[in-house]
Amino acid sequence: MADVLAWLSQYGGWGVLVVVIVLFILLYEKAEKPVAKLYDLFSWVGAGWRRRAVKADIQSNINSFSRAVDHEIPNTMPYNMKLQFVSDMDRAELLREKNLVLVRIRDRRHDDKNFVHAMLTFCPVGVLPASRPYLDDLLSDAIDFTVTRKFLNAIQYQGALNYLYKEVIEPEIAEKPELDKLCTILDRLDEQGLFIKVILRELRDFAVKVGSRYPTEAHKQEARQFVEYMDTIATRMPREATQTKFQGNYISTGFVFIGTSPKIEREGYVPYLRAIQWSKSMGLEKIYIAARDWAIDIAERTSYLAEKRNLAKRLKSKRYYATDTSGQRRKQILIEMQLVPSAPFAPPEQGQLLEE
Amino acid sequence: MRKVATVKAIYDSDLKQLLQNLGILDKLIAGELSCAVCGCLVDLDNLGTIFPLGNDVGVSCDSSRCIRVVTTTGVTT
Repeated sequence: MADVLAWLSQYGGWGVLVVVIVLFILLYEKAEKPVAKLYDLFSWVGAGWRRRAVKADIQSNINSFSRAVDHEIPNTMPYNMKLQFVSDMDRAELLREKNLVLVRIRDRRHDDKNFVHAMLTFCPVGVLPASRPYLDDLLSDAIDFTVTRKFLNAIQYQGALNYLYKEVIEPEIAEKPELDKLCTILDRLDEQGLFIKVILRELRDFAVKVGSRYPTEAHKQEARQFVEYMDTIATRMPREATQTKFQGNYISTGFVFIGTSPKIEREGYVPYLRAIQWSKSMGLEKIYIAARDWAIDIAERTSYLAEKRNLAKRLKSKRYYATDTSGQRRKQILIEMQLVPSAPFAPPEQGQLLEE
Repeated sequence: MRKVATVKAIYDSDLKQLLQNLGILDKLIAGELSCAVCGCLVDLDNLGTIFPLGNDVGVSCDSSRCIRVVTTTGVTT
Protein backbone atom coordinates (compact mmCIF):
# COMPACT_ATOMS: atom_id res chain seq x y z
CA MET A 1 0.00 0.00 0.00
CA ALA A 2 2.84 2.40 0.95
CA ASP A 3 4.49 1.65 -2.40
CA VAL A 4 1.29 2.51 -4.26
CA LEU A 5 0.96 5.83 -2.35
CA ALA A 6 4.62 6.67 -3.02
CA TRP A 7 4.10 5.90 -6.70
CA LEU A 8 0.97 8.09 -6.77
CA SER A 9 2.75 11.05 -5.13
CA GLN A 10 5.53 10.69 -7.73
CA TYR A 11 3.21 10.64 -10.76
CA GLY A 12 0.41 12.87 -9.38
CA GLY A 13 -2.82 13.16 -11.41
CA TRP A 14 -1.66 10.75 -14.12
CA GLY A 15 -1.04 8.10 -11.47
CA VAL A 16 -4.59 8.48 -10.14
CA LEU A 17 -5.94 8.26 -13.69
CA VAL A 18 -4.00 5.06 -14.37
CA VAL A 19 -5.25 3.52 -11.09
CA VAL A 20 -8.85 4.48 -11.97
CA ILE A 21 -8.53 2.95 -15.45
CA VAL A 22 -7.03 -0.28 -14.06
CA LEU A 23 -9.79 -0.51 -11.41
CA PHE A 24 -12.45 0.16 -14.05
CA ILE A 25 -11.11 -2.64 -16.27
CA LEU A 26 -10.86 -5.06 -13.33
CA LEU A 27 -14.25 -4.22 -11.83
CA TYR A 28 -16.10 -3.42 -15.04
CA GLU A 29 -18.62 -6.24 -14.64
CA LYS A 30 -19.43 -5.21 -11.07
CA ALA A 31 -19.72 -1.55 -12.06
CA GLU A 32 -22.43 -2.20 -14.65
CA LYS A 33 -25.34 -1.70 -12.24
CA PRO A 34 -24.15 1.62 -10.73
CA VAL A 35 -23.39 2.85 -14.27
CA ALA A 36 -26.97 1.96 -15.29
CA LYS A 37 -28.32 3.97 -12.33
CA LEU A 38 -26.13 6.92 -13.34
CA TYR A 39 -27.44 6.92 -16.91
CA ASP A 40 -30.98 6.61 -15.56
CA LEU A 41 -30.41 9.71 -13.43
CA PHE A 42 -29.53 11.74 -16.54
CA SER A 43 -32.12 10.20 -18.85
CA TRP A 44 -34.13 13.45 -18.86
CA VAL A 45 -31.27 15.14 -20.81
CA GLY A 46 -32.10 13.49 -24.13
CA ALA A 47 -32.75 10.37 -26.22
CA GLY A 48 -29.05 9.44 -26.20
CA TRP A 49 -28.94 9.20 -22.41
CA ARG A 50 -32.26 7.34 -22.34
CA ARG A 51 -30.89 4.85 -24.86
CA ARG A 52 -27.78 4.34 -22.72
CA ALA A 53 -29.93 3.99 -19.59
CA VAL A 54 -32.16 1.31 -21.18
CA LYS A 55 -29.14 -0.54 -22.55
CA ALA A 56 -27.18 -0.44 -19.28
CA ASP A 57 -30.22 -1.51 -17.24
CA ILE A 58 -31.06 -4.52 -19.41
CA GLN A 59 -27.43 -5.54 -19.86
CA SER A 60 -26.45 -5.25 -16.19
CA ASN A 61 -29.45 -7.24 -14.94
CA ILE A 62 -29.08 -10.04 -17.51
CA ASN A 63 -25.31 -10.25 -17.01
CA SER A 64 -25.55 -10.33 -13.24
CA PHE A 65 -28.10 -13.19 -13.45
CA SER A 66 -26.08 -15.06 -16.06
CA ARG A 67 -22.90 -14.75 -13.96
CA ALA A 68 -24.73 -16.12 -10.90
CA VAL A 69 -25.99 -19.17 -12.83
CA ASP A 70 -22.60 -19.74 -14.41
CA HIS A 71 -20.93 -19.44 -11.01
CA GLU A 72 -23.20 -22.20 -9.67
CA ILE A 73 -22.62 -24.53 -12.63
CA PRO A 74 -19.78 -23.32 -14.88
CA ASN A 75 -20.34 -23.07 -18.64
CA THR A 76 -24.14 -23.25 -18.46
CA MET A 77 -24.41 -19.50 -19.15
CA PRO A 78 -20.87 -18.70 -20.32
CA TYR A 79 -21.50 -15.36 -22.04
CA ASN A 80 -22.22 -11.81 -21.05
CA MET A 81 -24.86 -10.13 -23.16
CA LYS A 82 -23.91 -7.03 -25.10
CA LEU A 83 -26.90 -5.07 -26.33
CA GLN A 84 -25.66 -3.22 -29.37
CA PHE A 85 -27.89 -0.50 -30.74
CA VAL A 86 -27.67 -0.03 -34.48
CA SER A 87 -28.69 3.41 -35.70
CA ASP A 88 -27.00 4.14 -39.01
CA MET A 89 -27.13 1.08 -41.20
CA ASP A 90 -28.07 1.19 -44.87
CA ARG A 91 -29.83 -1.41 -47.00
CA ALA A 92 -26.62 -2.88 -48.50
CA GLU A 93 -25.08 -3.38 -45.07
CA LEU A 94 -28.19 -5.12 -43.74
CA LEU A 95 -28.41 -7.46 -46.73
CA ARG A 96 -24.73 -8.37 -46.43
CA GLU A 97 -25.21 -9.75 -42.91
CA LYS A 98 -27.33 -12.81 -43.59
CA ASN A 99 -27.95 -13.83 -39.95
CA LEU A 100 -28.58 -10.35 -38.60
CA VAL A 101 -31.80 -9.67 -36.69
CA LEU A 102 -32.47 -6.22 -35.23
CA VAL A 103 -34.81 -6.47 -32.24
CA ARG A 104 -36.79 -3.37 -31.39
CA ILE A 105 -36.18 -2.00 -27.91
CA ARG A 106 -38.75 0.54 -26.81
CA ASP A 107 -38.73 3.49 -24.47
CA ARG A 108 -38.60 2.89 -20.70
CA ARG A 109 -42.42 2.90 -20.46
CA HIS A 110 -42.31 -0.49 -22.17
CA ASP A 111 -39.50 -1.96 -20.07
CA ASP A 112 -41.52 -5.11 -19.29
CA LYS A 113 -41.56 -5.94 -23.02
CA ASN A 114 -37.92 -4.88 -23.41
CA PHE A 115 -36.66 -7.19 -20.67
CA VAL A 116 -38.65 -10.19 -21.90
CA HIS A 117 -37.69 -9.74 -25.57
CA ALA A 118 -34.02 -9.09 -24.77
CA MET A 119 -33.76 -12.14 -22.48
CA LEU A 120 -35.62 -14.44 -24.88
CA THR A 121 -33.35 -13.28 -27.72
CA PHE A 122 -30.25 -13.85 -25.58
CA CYS A 123 -31.28 -17.30 -24.25
CA PRO A 124 -30.65 -19.42 -27.39
CA VAL A 125 -27.04 -18.16 -27.54
CA GLY A 126 -26.54 -17.53 -23.85
CA VAL A 127 -27.91 -20.65 -22.16
CA LEU A 128 -26.25 -24.01 -22.91
CA PRO A 129 -24.95 -22.76 -26.28
CA ALA A 130 -23.03 -25.95 -27.07
CA SER A 131 -25.98 -28.22 -26.26
CA ARG A 132 -28.59 -26.42 -28.39
CA PRO A 133 -28.11 -28.39 -31.62
CA TYR A 134 -28.80 -31.60 -29.67
CA LEU A 135 -32.05 -30.42 -28.04
CA ASP A 136 -35.41 -30.51 -29.80
CA ASP A 137 -37.22 -27.21 -30.40
CA LEU A 138 -39.80 -27.75 -27.67
CA LEU A 139 -37.20 -28.56 -25.02
CA SER A 140 -35.15 -25.53 -26.12
CA ASP A 141 -38.23 -23.31 -25.80
CA ALA A 142 -39.12 -24.76 -22.39
CA ILE A 143 -35.55 -24.12 -21.13
CA ASP A 144 -35.65 -20.53 -22.44
CA PHE A 145 -39.01 -19.85 -20.78
CA THR A 146 -37.85 -21.35 -17.48
CA VAL A 147 -34.58 -19.39 -17.49
CA THR A 148 -36.40 -16.15 -18.42
CA ARG A 149 -38.95 -16.73 -15.64
CA LYS A 150 -36.13 -17.36 -13.15
CA PHE A 151 -34.37 -14.19 -14.33
CA LEU A 152 -37.48 -12.01 -13.92
CA ASN A 153 -38.12 -13.59 -10.53
CA ALA A 154 -34.53 -12.86 -9.48
CA ILE A 155 -34.89 -9.16 -10.34
CA GLN A 156 -38.47 -9.17 -8.95
CA TYR A 157 -39.97 -7.64 -12.07
CA GLN A 158 -43.67 -8.46 -11.70
CA GLY A 159 -44.83 -6.48 -14.77
CA ALA A 160 -42.43 -8.35 -17.04
CA LEU A 161 -43.42 -11.68 -15.45
CA ASN A 162 -47.08 -10.95 -16.23
CA TYR A 163 -46.15 -10.06 -19.80
CA LEU A 164 -44.12 -13.27 -20.12
CA TYR A 165 -47.02 -15.45 -18.89
CA LYS A 166 -49.85 -13.69 -20.71
CA GLU A 167 -48.22 -12.71 -23.98
CA VAL A 168 -45.51 -15.32 -24.47
CA ILE A 169 -46.04 -18.58 -22.61
CA GLU A 170 -49.86 -18.86 -22.64
CA PRO A 171 -50.31 -18.39 -26.42
CA GLU A 172 -47.46 -20.87 -27.05
CA ILE A 173 -48.72 -23.61 -24.75
CA ALA A 174 -52.29 -23.19 -26.01
CA GLU A 175 -50.98 -24.34 -29.39
CA LYS A 176 -48.41 -26.87 -28.15
CA PRO A 177 -49.61 -29.10 -25.27
CA GLU A 178 -46.24 -30.87 -25.27
CA LEU A 179 -44.53 -27.55 -24.49
CA ASP A 180 -46.95 -27.05 -21.60
CA LYS A 181 -45.94 -30.45 -20.22
CA LEU A 182 -42.21 -29.64 -20.52
CA CYS A 183 -42.59 -26.19 -18.93
CA THR A 184 -44.49 -27.78 -16.02
CA ILE A 185 -41.76 -30.40 -15.55
CA LEU A 186 -38.95 -27.82 -15.62
CA ASP A 187 -40.91 -25.58 -13.25
CA ARG A 188 -41.34 -28.48 -10.82
CA LEU A 189 -37.64 -29.34 -11.07
CA ASP A 190 -36.76 -25.71 -10.46
CA GLU A 191 -38.98 -25.60 -7.37
CA GLN A 192 -37.06 -28.58 -6.02
CA GLY A 193 -33.72 -26.98 -6.84
CA LEU A 194 -32.87 -29.50 -9.56
CA PHE A 195 -33.20 -27.37 -12.70
CA ILE A 196 -29.78 -25.68 -12.64
CA LYS A 197 -28.00 -28.24 -10.44
CA VAL A 198 -28.96 -31.32 -12.46
CA ILE A 199 -30.77 -30.48 -15.72
CA LEU A 200 -28.49 -27.69 -16.95
CA ARG A 201 -25.41 -29.49 -15.63
CA GLU A 202 -26.22 -32.81 -17.32
CA LEU A 203 -27.25 -31.15 -20.59
CA ARG A 204 -23.99 -29.20 -20.55
CA ASP A 205 -21.99 -32.43 -20.06
CA PHE A 206 -24.16 -34.10 -22.71
CA ALA A 207 -22.86 -31.65 -25.34
CA VAL A 208 -19.27 -32.25 -24.22
CA LYS A 209 -19.69 -36.03 -24.59
CA VAL A 210 -21.49 -35.83 -27.92
CA GLY A 211 -18.58 -33.68 -29.09
CA SER A 212 -19.12 -32.17 -32.48
CA ARG A 213 -21.14 -35.02 -33.97
CA TYR A 214 -23.88 -34.19 -36.41
CA PRO A 215 -27.09 -33.73 -34.37
CA THR A 216 -29.52 -36.61 -34.83
CA GLU A 217 -32.99 -37.50 -33.59
CA ALA A 218 -31.38 -39.98 -31.17
CA HIS A 219 -29.54 -37.12 -29.41
CA LYS A 220 -32.74 -35.11 -29.12
CA GLN A 221 -34.67 -38.11 -27.81
CA GLU A 222 -32.05 -38.85 -25.17
CA ALA A 223 -32.12 -35.27 -23.87
CA ARG A 224 -35.93 -35.36 -23.74
CA GLN A 225 -36.00 -38.77 -22.03
CA PHE A 226 -33.56 -37.51 -19.43
CA VAL A 227 -35.85 -34.57 -18.58
CA GLU A 228 -38.80 -36.99 -18.28
CA TYR A 229 -36.72 -39.29 -16.05
CA MET A 230 -35.89 -36.32 -13.82
CA ASP A 231 -39.60 -35.65 -13.49
CA THR A 232 -40.14 -39.15 -12.08
CA ILE A 233 -37.36 -38.35 -9.58
CA ALA A 234 -38.97 -35.01 -8.68
CA THR A 235 -42.48 -36.44 -8.25
CA ARG A 236 -41.35 -39.54 -6.37
CA MET A 237 -43.07 -39.87 -2.98
CA PRO A 238 -41.03 -40.94 0.09
CA ARG A 239 -40.33 -44.71 0.08
CA GLU A 240 -41.88 -45.04 -3.39
CA ALA A 241 -39.98 -47.50 -5.59
CA THR A 242 -38.94 -45.73 -8.79
CA GLN A 243 -36.28 -46.14 -11.42
CA THR A 244 -33.35 -44.26 -9.93
CA LYS A 245 -30.91 -44.62 -12.78
CA PHE A 246 -30.81 -43.18 -16.28
CA GLN A 247 -28.50 -44.90 -18.71
CA GLY A 248 -28.48 -43.36 -22.16
CA ASN A 249 -25.73 -43.37 -24.75
CA TYR A 250 -24.31 -40.14 -23.39
CA ILE A 251 -26.10 -39.34 -20.14
CA SER A 252 -25.42 -41.95 -17.50
CA THR A 253 -26.47 -41.01 -14.01
CA GLY A 254 -28.45 -42.15 -10.97
CA PHE A 255 -29.80 -41.02 -7.62
CA VAL A 256 -29.26 -42.39 -4.13
CA PHE A 257 -31.88 -41.08 -1.72
CA ILE A 258 -31.02 -41.09 1.95
CA GLY A 259 -33.78 -40.76 4.47
CA THR A 260 -35.41 -44.03 5.60
CA SER A 261 -34.79 -43.93 9.35
CA PRO A 262 -35.55 -47.62 10.18
CA LYS A 263 -33.11 -48.64 7.45
CA ILE A 264 -30.40 -46.36 8.87
CA GLU A 265 -31.01 -47.60 12.44
CA ARG A 266 -30.87 -51.23 11.29
CA GLU A 267 -28.04 -51.20 8.77
CA GLY A 268 -26.32 -47.80 9.00
CA TYR A 269 -24.60 -46.55 5.83
CA VAL A 270 -24.21 -49.99 4.26
CA PRO A 271 -27.39 -50.00 2.05
CA TYR A 272 -26.43 -46.63 0.58
CA LEU A 273 -22.83 -47.66 -0.07
CA ARG A 274 -24.21 -50.83 -1.60
CA ALA A 275 -26.46 -48.73 -3.85
CA ILE A 276 -23.44 -46.73 -4.99
CA GLN A 277 -21.52 -49.95 -5.58
CA TRP A 278 -24.46 -51.34 -7.53
CA SER A 279 -24.61 -48.18 -9.67
CA LYS A 280 -20.92 -48.61 -10.38
CA SER A 281 -21.33 -52.25 -11.35
CA MET A 282 -24.19 -51.25 -13.67
CA GLY A 283 -21.74 -49.02 -15.53
CA LEU A 284 -23.19 -45.65 -14.46
CA GLU A 285 -20.76 -42.76 -14.65
CA LYS A 286 -22.20 -40.45 -12.03
CA ILE A 287 -24.56 -40.46 -9.07
CA TYR A 288 -26.27 -37.79 -7.03
CA ILE A 289 -26.72 -38.43 -3.31
CA ALA A 290 -29.83 -36.55 -2.13
CA ALA A 291 -31.07 -36.03 1.42
CA ARG A 292 -33.17 -33.66 3.52
CA ASP A 293 -33.12 -32.28 7.07
CA TRP A 294 -31.74 -34.81 9.58
CA ALA A 295 -30.41 -37.10 6.83
CA ILE A 296 -28.02 -34.45 5.46
CA ASP A 297 -25.17 -35.48 7.78
CA ILE A 298 -25.69 -39.12 6.83
CA ALA A 299 -25.49 -38.15 3.15
CA GLU A 300 -22.20 -36.33 3.83
CA ARG A 301 -20.86 -39.37 5.70
CA THR A 302 -21.98 -41.75 2.94
CA SER A 303 -20.20 -39.67 0.29
CA TYR A 304 -17.08 -39.55 2.48
CA LEU A 305 -17.09 -43.35 2.91
CA ALA A 306 -17.75 -43.90 -0.80
CA GLU A 307 -14.75 -41.75 -1.63
CA LYS A 308 -12.59 -43.47 0.98
CA ARG A 309 -13.47 -46.88 -0.43
CA ASN A 310 -12.63 -45.65 -3.91
CA LEU A 311 -16.18 -46.18 -5.16
CA ALA A 312 -16.67 -42.61 -6.29
CA LYS A 313 -15.04 -39.20 -6.35
CA ARG A 314 -16.90 -36.29 -4.83
CA LEU A 315 -17.35 -33.51 -7.41
CA LYS A 316 -19.65 -31.01 -5.75
CA SER A 317 -21.86 -30.70 -2.72
CA LYS A 318 -24.55 -28.10 -2.30
CA ARG A 319 -26.88 -27.40 0.64
CA TYR A 320 -30.00 -25.40 -0.20
CA TYR A 321 -33.66 -24.87 0.66
CA ALA A 322 -36.30 -26.21 -1.72
CA THR A 323 -39.90 -27.39 -1.77
CA ASP A 324 -40.53 -31.14 -1.54
CA THR A 325 -43.31 -33.22 -3.15
CA SER A 326 -45.66 -32.46 -0.25
CA GLY A 327 -45.16 -28.71 -0.72
CA GLN A 328 -42.96 -28.19 2.37
CA ARG A 329 -39.87 -26.01 2.16
CA ARG A 330 -36.99 -28.00 3.60
CA LYS A 331 -33.24 -27.97 3.85
CA GLN A 332 -31.68 -30.27 1.27
CA ILE A 333 -28.32 -31.52 0.13
CA LEU A 334 -27.26 -32.75 -3.28
CA ILE A 335 -23.84 -34.38 -3.60
CA GLU A 336 -22.57 -35.06 -7.09
CA MET A 337 -20.17 -38.01 -7.32
CA GLN A 338 -18.21 -39.37 -10.26
CA LEU A 339 -18.15 -43.15 -10.03
CA VAL A 340 -14.62 -44.55 -10.26
CA PRO A 341 -14.38 -47.04 -13.13
CA SER A 342 -13.10 -50.52 -12.22
CA ALA A 343 -9.77 -51.74 -13.58
CA PRO A 344 -9.98 -53.88 -16.74
CA PHE A 345 -10.56 -57.62 -16.03
CA ALA A 346 -11.34 -56.87 -12.37
CA PRO A 347 -13.62 -59.50 -10.76
CA PRO A 348 -17.29 -58.57 -10.37
CA GLU A 349 -17.58 -56.08 -7.55
CA GLN A 350 -21.10 -56.63 -6.30
CA GLY A 351 -21.03 -57.33 -2.59
CA GLN A 352 -17.24 -57.67 -2.40
CA LEU A 353 -16.00 -54.51 -0.84
CA LEU A 354 -18.63 -54.05 1.79
CA GLU A 355 -18.07 -57.40 3.46
CA GLU A 356 -14.41 -56.54 4.16
CA MET B 1 -13.41 -11.38 -18.44
CA ARG B 2 -16.24 -13.51 -19.82
CA LYS B 3 -16.94 -13.94 -23.50
CA VAL B 4 -19.65 -11.76 -25.02
CA ALA B 5 -22.74 -12.63 -27.07
CA THR B 6 -24.04 -9.63 -28.96
CA VAL B 7 -27.73 -8.93 -29.38
CA LYS B 8 -28.25 -6.28 -32.03
CA ALA B 9 -31.16 -3.94 -31.45
CA ILE B 10 -32.77 -0.77 -32.66
CA TYR B 11 -33.94 1.85 -30.18
CA ASP B 12 -37.28 3.61 -30.66
CA SER B 13 -35.80 7.07 -31.19
CA ASP B 14 -33.57 5.81 -34.04
CA LEU B 15 -36.26 3.71 -35.70
CA LYS B 16 -37.59 6.15 -38.31
CA GLN B 17 -34.10 7.14 -39.47
CA LEU B 18 -33.07 3.49 -39.84
CA LEU B 19 -36.24 2.61 -41.75
CA GLN B 20 -35.56 5.58 -44.02
CA ASN B 21 -31.99 4.34 -44.64
CA LEU B 22 -33.31 0.88 -45.43
CA GLY B 23 -35.87 2.36 -47.83
CA ILE B 24 -38.93 0.85 -46.16
CA LEU B 25 -40.32 3.77 -44.15
CA ASP B 26 -42.79 4.87 -46.84
CA LYS B 27 -44.01 1.29 -47.40
CA LEU B 28 -44.46 0.84 -43.66
CA ILE B 29 -46.50 4.03 -43.32
CA ALA B 30 -48.55 3.13 -46.40
CA GLY B 31 -49.42 -0.25 -44.82
CA GLU B 32 -47.66 -2.28 -47.49
CA LEU B 33 -45.52 -4.44 -45.20
CA SER B 34 -46.65 -7.63 -43.49
CA CYS B 35 -45.09 -9.81 -40.80
CA ALA B 36 -42.85 -12.48 -42.35
CA VAL B 37 -44.05 -14.98 -39.72
CA CYS B 38 -47.79 -14.50 -39.09
CA GLY B 39 -48.66 -12.33 -42.08
CA CYS B 40 -50.35 -9.54 -40.10
CA LEU B 41 -50.01 -5.92 -41.19
CA VAL B 42 -46.93 -4.23 -39.69
CA ASP B 43 -46.84 -0.51 -38.94
CA LEU B 44 -44.65 1.80 -36.84
CA ASP B 45 -46.57 0.80 -33.74
CA ASN B 46 -46.24 -2.97 -33.87
CA LEU B 47 -42.88 -3.41 -35.63
CA GLY B 48 -40.84 -6.01 -33.72
CA THR B 49 -37.77 -7.02 -35.75
CA ILE B 50 -35.94 -6.10 -38.96
CA PHE B 51 -33.81 -8.64 -40.81
CA PRO B 52 -32.51 -9.49 -44.31
CA LEU B 53 -34.95 -11.69 -46.20
CA GLY B 54 -33.45 -12.92 -49.46
CA ASN B 55 -32.61 -9.78 -51.42
CA ASP B 56 -35.09 -7.68 -49.51
CA VAL B 57 -35.64 -6.35 -46.01
CA GLY B 58 -37.99 -8.44 -43.88
CA VAL B 59 -39.96 -7.31 -40.85
CA SER B 60 -41.96 -9.04 -38.16
CA CYS B 61 -44.65 -7.80 -35.81
CA ASP B 62 -43.90 -7.40 -32.10
CA SER B 63 -45.78 -10.50 -30.97
CA SER B 64 -43.34 -12.48 -28.84
CA ARG B 65 -43.97 -15.59 -30.85
CA CYS B 66 -42.98 -13.94 -34.13
CA ILE B 67 -39.89 -12.37 -32.55
CA ARG B 68 -38.83 -15.78 -31.22
CA VAL B 69 -39.34 -17.45 -34.59
CA VAL B 70 -37.20 -14.79 -36.29
CA THR B 71 -34.44 -14.85 -33.63
CA THR B 72 -34.25 -18.62 -33.14
CA THR B 73 -35.17 -20.53 -36.30
CA GLY B 74 -35.05 -17.65 -38.76
CA VAL B 75 -37.31 -16.93 -41.72
CA THR B 76 -36.67 -17.97 -45.29
CA THR B 77 -38.20 -16.54 -48.40
